[in-house]
Amino acid sequence: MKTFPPCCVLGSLLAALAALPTAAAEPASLEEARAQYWKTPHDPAAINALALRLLEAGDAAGARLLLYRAVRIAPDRVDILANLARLEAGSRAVGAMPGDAAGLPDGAQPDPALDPPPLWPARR
Amino acid sequence: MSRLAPFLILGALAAPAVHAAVDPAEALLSQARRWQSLDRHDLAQQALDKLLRIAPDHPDGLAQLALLQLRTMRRAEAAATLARLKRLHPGHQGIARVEQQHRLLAGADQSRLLAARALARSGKVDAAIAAFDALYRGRPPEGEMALEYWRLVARSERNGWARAHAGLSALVRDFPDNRRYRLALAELYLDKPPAPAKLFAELKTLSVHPDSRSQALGVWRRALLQERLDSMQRGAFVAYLREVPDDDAVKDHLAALEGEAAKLRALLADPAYRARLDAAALLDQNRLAEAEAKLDRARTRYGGEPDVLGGYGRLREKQGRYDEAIDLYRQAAAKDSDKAAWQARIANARLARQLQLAERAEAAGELDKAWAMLAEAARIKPRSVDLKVAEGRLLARRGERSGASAAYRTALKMDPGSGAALAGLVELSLAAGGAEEAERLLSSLAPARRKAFGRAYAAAQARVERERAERLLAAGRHEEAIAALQRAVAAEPQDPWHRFALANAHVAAGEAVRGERLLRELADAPGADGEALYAYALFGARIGQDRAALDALQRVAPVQRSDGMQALQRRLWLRETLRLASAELAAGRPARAGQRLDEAERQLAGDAEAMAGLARGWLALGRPERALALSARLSTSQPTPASTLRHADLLLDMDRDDEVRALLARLPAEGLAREDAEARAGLLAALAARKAERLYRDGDQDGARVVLETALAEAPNDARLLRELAAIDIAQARWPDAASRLDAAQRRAPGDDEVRLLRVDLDRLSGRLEAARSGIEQLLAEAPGRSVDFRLRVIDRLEAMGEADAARAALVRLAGAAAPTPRLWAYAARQARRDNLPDLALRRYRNGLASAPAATPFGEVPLASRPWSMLPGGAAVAADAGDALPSLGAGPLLPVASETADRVALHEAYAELLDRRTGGVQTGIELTGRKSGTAGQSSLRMAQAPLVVTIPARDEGRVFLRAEPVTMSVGTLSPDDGYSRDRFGSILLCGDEAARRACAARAGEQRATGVAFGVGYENVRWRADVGTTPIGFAVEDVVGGVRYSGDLGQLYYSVDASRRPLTSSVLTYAGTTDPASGQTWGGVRATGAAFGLGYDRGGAFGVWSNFGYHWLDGRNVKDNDRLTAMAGIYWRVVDAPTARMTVGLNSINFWFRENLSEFTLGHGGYYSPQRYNSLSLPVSYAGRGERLSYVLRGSVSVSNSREKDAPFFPNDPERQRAAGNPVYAGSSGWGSGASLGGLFEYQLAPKWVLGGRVELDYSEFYQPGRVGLYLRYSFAPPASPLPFPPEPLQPYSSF
Repeated sequence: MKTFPPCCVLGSLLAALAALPTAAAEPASLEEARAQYWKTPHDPAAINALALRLLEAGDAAGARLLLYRAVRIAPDRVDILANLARLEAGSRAVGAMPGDAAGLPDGAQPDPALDPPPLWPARR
Repeated sequence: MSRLAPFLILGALAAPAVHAAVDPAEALLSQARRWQSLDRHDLAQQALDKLLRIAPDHPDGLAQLALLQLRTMRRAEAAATLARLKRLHPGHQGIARVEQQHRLLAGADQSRLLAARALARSGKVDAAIAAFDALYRGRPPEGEMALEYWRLVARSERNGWARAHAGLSALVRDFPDNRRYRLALAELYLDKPPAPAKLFAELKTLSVHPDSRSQALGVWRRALLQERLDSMQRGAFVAYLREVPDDDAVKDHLAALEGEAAKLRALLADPAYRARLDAAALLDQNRLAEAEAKLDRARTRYGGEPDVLGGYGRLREKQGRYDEAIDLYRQAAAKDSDKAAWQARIANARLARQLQLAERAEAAGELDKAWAMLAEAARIKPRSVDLKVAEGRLLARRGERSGASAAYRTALKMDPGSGAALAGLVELSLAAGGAEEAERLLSSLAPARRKAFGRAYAAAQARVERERAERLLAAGRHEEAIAALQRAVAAEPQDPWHRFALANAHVAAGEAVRGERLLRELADAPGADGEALYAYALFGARIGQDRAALDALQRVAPVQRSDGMQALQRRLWLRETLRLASAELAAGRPARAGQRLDEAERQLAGDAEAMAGLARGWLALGRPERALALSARLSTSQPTPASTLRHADLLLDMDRDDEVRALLARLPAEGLAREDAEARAGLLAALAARKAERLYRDGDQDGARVVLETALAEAPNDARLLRELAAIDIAQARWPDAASRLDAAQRRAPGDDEVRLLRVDLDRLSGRLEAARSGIEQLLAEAPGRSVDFRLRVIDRLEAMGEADAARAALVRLAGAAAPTPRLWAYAARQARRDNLPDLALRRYRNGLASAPAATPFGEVPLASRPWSMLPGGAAVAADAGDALPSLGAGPLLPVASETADRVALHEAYAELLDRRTGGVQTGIELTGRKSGTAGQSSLRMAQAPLVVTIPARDEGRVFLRAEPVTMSVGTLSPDDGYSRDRFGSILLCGDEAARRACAARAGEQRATGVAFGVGYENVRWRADVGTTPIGFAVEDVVGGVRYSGDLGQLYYSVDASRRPLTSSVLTYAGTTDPASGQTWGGVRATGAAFGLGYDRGGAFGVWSNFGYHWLDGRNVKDNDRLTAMAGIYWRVVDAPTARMTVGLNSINFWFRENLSEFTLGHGGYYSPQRYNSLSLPVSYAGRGERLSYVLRGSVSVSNSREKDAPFFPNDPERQRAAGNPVYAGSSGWGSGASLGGLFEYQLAPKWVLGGRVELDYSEFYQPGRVGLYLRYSFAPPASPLPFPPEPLQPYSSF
């Protein structure tokens, strides 16, 4: 378990005060993610989205706190859990959805064993 | 016995005999009978002679001898033998047989025998049989007369063949060597072709014996000439021709059959011909889609054949397309020689067409026209069962019950097995007297009648039970309804729809699994019927088993797939694809999720409805850009109003109201189809409603009303706008306005459940509770299009009426009846919370959030408590944050699928409960100081260091344990400061100046140290605690209190009863010792009650107030009492999720009976004016970020107060007199003040929060300050954001 480093409390506090919603220099995506987060602060997807934007902005500690909270309220969201695990493993990169510039992070084809039976053709 | 039994018997006799001890008399008797049956009278005589030698009086031997004597015309000897038999064995049964034979051959019955034979010859078979039966008195004699009798019986139409078969078989069994009997039995088979294979074997056996060869070959030949292609036994032909090689007729017949067989083989190789054959069979089985496919195939080669034309005719007739059927029959008749058969079909089809027209007229309510149609039908075929049934139905519809009954009964006379007539009578009974009367009708039918109805009787029974079940369900008598449905299923076990109804009833009783099993029985059967699979799929879709439903549908043969099945399959396919995509994404495989939706997009191309669903799927996967792109593409590639409206609908879901508005502005209502115009109006209404909702939420009810009324002016028929307005009326208790709005809405949308629900609200809130209950009951019933979530809202109303048990029962029923939704799980969880089962509630929330929900919220599903284990290669790690996570490599962090609003609500409730169930530890330090006071008296420095442990407890509360070290000091009394010194304790009475100095010096520093302890419980409503003031103080006390908070309509209130310490000085809080008298005094506690009342609906402003009365006492301190009245109002000038600013106006007023603010003995050292009134203007600003929550406060105030004169020793007149009756002079006047303060909480780590507070007050004579820091550790990471505004750690003394 990680504990906070007491020597840095003041520094963190000041950093947080500096990050109060006055930051005009924040990227629009972070502002948007933050706005969405505060609209639905219990939406794990919104929490995850803000965590990713914070990570992009260099605030890994903030992202970590958010992801822990998301995992706590959505223990069945393995995707969020995976993000937390990646963060804890040292990853600081943020991927994109398939089709975006980052390409296909999980590349493989869908498992055909899971496929539903074929779709019946529409009637004329 | 079967037709083959005699041959089997013969076969058995041919087998090696198993020898047993044989009675020689019986053996001889048997021989005699056999020889006699073979007309070998000599040998029979020899056997009888031997028998009578060894047993002269043998009764059967004597009887057999008499019969032989009669047959050989030795009548005198026969008479003597009979006489001897009668004498020796008077009751022997052989006597009657001998006498019968005698009568027939030589006696009185000779002429009756001739008469019977004459009847037989003249073809009066049954009369002849009757005559023979009379003559033989039950049993024909053996021999030729027996053969003559059974051959005659075989000619009878009254089951004659079977009776003769039985009689001859008995003879063959009794006399297996008698080949005449065997030939007679073999010949009997010629009357019932085709001949069984065993017959030819028997004839071959008989043909070996010279005495039967000729006759056997004759029977054989006739049997062969009767052979048809379908029953041909080639071996029998070959065997016969081996015996009679020259029989040309048999050879020719065989050649003809073989030619036919070759032709048939060639035809059967032709798929078109096979299809022609299959079509007829399929038509017989009413498998119309398959039959049509076969006919289409057959038509390619045999299109002009009468049977193919006729097949099409039958198909169209069965499809109700009678005109086409008649035309096809006419074409078939033109090509066929058997015109009469086609004419009969044409007449039937014409009749059916006429009945169909009548039925349509009846359905349209044109009963007279229908009656005229039936009259026309009667001209086509007056004696038709179908016509009578149609008449009965129409008469029933016209309310002419007796006429209807008569018509059905006439139909039954014409066809005693008419299921339609029986069904009609049953319907009449059901309508007249319910299931009971219909049951009486059915049970009154004799068993033979029931048998005649066959399956129709079972169908009628099932119908009655279904009707009974329906009524029981409507009355909420579920168990009885299930029993009735079980009887319906028992009556027609193969009917999937009875099972479907029973399965649904099981679901309603919370037993979805039983329901599923019922339908699966049929669906799992090999070659299950399409309807059975469809019923299973429908049920599966209903209970959320989409995949099983899809798999079942896949087993329906393509030709059997109806429109309904096809629509269901496509709907389920899309649902399943979206679910799989969502699961892929949730498992961290967004590319696969995207590929699934891409593939679905490709496959569903052209299906606008499905594509709209797919766009929502993209949205749900957190890909709004794809959702928008797809929707926009649809609306541009198919630029119909419908596609534009669907696009607008999607935009509306994405909260892009302005774009929706712009889109709708480009789509004028004029010229739109009705559905599109309605959809447009609906979207506009939704926009207006959303805007109105925002205004309403902000407290601007009138603004909301204006928006809605403006929208209503543009769309006066919009029921939704009327509903919204009615809702505001209801909220404002404008009952008549609400009622008239709801009336209008109901007129425009009669089936609108939302309107009905608002009516329930109106009734409920305006006191019409019975009407509300009735409305709720109706809305709880299942109805098409009535969602689970809607019914949950209805259950809400039951709860709001305080009918918790009824709500609980309704919820259980609902949970069993439908696929659980997140909202249903949320309800189930809420119920568990009410039942004080928080762990169950948490599990239910989790179930609701699981991607594959369990069957029912009341069938508990164990869930993995460690989601970590679901990760690839997941190691078992604890769920608490901060613990090690399995390594997943260094891949990038990825976006995840979004959640629906329902699920987010579920997450929120789950998080809130989780936090209530999480304990923690808080500790901190708070420093309080006041420099303005007098050293040794009112100058205060206090440090409190609370340590609080909270443990989750019942009713979602927490138990807290507190230990609070306190140290306080007011400094040292200066012996040189005469003014202050003489106003402490009773130093004034110490004597002269030097003595007073000495007394003051004894006082030393006024400080106190101790540890307060407390234990308590709190939840959202209650707080109760008991504890001590710091142990170690001069005055120690038990303190505590109880507080309850609740709602009173739109207001909130709290009631508090407590005993608490006052802390303004060492004297007040800890008590101290008088250096002059050694007396301890102080330790003031306030005991009393307070009542708070306020209003805050989250809108633009709020109001608060508090009123209290407390009695104040302390050791050696004069008693006092205090009345307080405080109130305030505040406005939210900023109210955003991350920032709130309020300004307000507060008035604080209190009145003390006594002025005890000084530090002489008997005073309490606490500010106690006789009147204090202040008016302050507070301003506060609260802000928050992800890790920080803070609030800054400030206020300015003016006050006016009055203190009366106070004696130095208020509760000690002696001292007061001794001191010369000194008094502290009272005062009054105005004052002003200001205060500043702030709080913050900062999240250091998932479980650690640092908090702090600063408060500074400033007034002319009073400048206290307070500063504190605290740490909060939670046993698990908090699931909710930091409290907003912060909730600082309070010392126990501040309770």
